[in-house]
Amino acid sequence: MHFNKLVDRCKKETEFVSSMTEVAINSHYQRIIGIGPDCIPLLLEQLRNEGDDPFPWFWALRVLSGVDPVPESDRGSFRLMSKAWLQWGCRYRGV
Amino acid sequence: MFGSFPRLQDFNFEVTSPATRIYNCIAWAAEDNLRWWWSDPENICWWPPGVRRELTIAAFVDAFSTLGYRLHFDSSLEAGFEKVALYARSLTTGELIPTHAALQLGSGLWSSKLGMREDIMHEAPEALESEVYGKVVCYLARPARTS
Repeated sequence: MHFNKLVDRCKKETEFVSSMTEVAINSHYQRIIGIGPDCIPLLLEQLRNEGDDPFPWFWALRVLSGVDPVPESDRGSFRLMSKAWLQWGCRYRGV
Repeated sequence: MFGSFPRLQDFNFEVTSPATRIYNCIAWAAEDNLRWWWSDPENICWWPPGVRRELTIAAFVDAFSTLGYRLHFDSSLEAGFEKVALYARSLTTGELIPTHAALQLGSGLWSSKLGMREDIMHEAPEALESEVYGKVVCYLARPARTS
């Protein structure tokens, strides 16, 4: 399935979910992770497009990249987490 | 919305905010509209320091206890108390997995943030009982703060 379709389905299936755990084990979220590190730029582009209302792609990015640029103090603050990942992305591949 | 929460049709409710992913229901019930609160062991979300990061009702009760809440016996409106309802879904093993929290307003109505969607005001905690959120499993209360 195309990346964008996986994103749409993941968002649709988790729209009423408050559990980060449930989001992360959603089958479409897992299939995105299954694409492998090649989808890191796509996830960063997603975050950029989502602007001030980012979807929590953070777990996927951490799993795929093996790093976590989010400071401990920013846990749960999705806007700040998104910003940290986008800054990391600039260093990662000039995304 | 009725597809996910069919019991909403039996109660009065009103959408009270635009959809946003910036905070979730636990944060909303804790009166924090800037963060996601969740006890994910992966440490993605915010969780009160010192409270165990596990998906149990006990961990969620402990999280609200950091705000002064204690287990309470019912959902009625009581002068001098603020209340929260905790919801959970039952796994086939019988284990309860926390799913949602709702905050009682001074009017006796309840306020819920629905995942990544809107806040709603609803007549009773039971209005959101569903396959998505399961059932209310306990209530918490704390003395109302004076403004």
